Amino acid sequence: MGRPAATPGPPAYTVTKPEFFYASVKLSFEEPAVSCASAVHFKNAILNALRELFGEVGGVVDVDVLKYEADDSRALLRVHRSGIVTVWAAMTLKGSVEGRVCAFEVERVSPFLAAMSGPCRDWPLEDL
Amino acid sequence: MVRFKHRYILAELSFEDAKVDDGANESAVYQHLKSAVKKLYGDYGLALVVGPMQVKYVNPRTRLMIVRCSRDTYEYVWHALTFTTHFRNRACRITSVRVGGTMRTCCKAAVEYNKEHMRLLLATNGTTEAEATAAQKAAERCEADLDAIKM
Repeated sequence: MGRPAATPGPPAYTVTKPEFFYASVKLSFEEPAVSCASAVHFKNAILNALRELFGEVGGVVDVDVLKYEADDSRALLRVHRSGIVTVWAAMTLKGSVEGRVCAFEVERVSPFLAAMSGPCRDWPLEDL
Repeated sequence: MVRFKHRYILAELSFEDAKVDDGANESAVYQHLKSAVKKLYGDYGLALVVGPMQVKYVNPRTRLMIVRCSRDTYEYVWHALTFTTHFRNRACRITSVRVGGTMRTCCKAAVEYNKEHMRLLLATNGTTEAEATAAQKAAERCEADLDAIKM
């Protein structure tokens, strides 16, 4: 019934307040075969989105682009816990970048970097 | 029904060159505040603030203005006032004198402010006749303003 007397096991960690959230985000344009040139452009698009929706004071969030694939316009972002909702909302409502109609597709958000290893929407069904 | 609460911000709008701008009226301040809140807090902040926001009173001569905002988001408006450096293309500074829950407390604070400034004006009354008449005129304007704020 009760637990056997203590041999101390491995330490148990409980994650209640993850410090960062990681997000796999794709910027898809209405025109085909258009992509965002570099990580700098991608981050600039996010910062503009934040500034438009939340302003110069309200939109101050530290966003790090950890990885960037220019062909896909897909980036791996890192945001502090306090800013993830702000960034996500700003990206959702951003309609155009540098005059070109586009949409941010947030594929995956997780507090664990390991969860970013699989963009599950792109898994081909035959391989499952 | 739960009451909708407001905050009334009594602020002093002082221009660097100390001249009076009669075009500084309620709608000019309102337009300025809207663009200032949009700059600081974006579309989201502007939408939160703009519904209950009203500029109730602006007096360019006594430099006082009263802005009404909702109790939940009055700080956005306050920050927009604080970060103002130019109004109608003139360098200025806006400092809050009183933030009150009702118009009455702001009006009382305005009366106190005006009385204090009238005292200062009369205290610096110079010996020449021109300065004396100027001080007298300023005092009369203050009196007219105090009457205009009906308590």
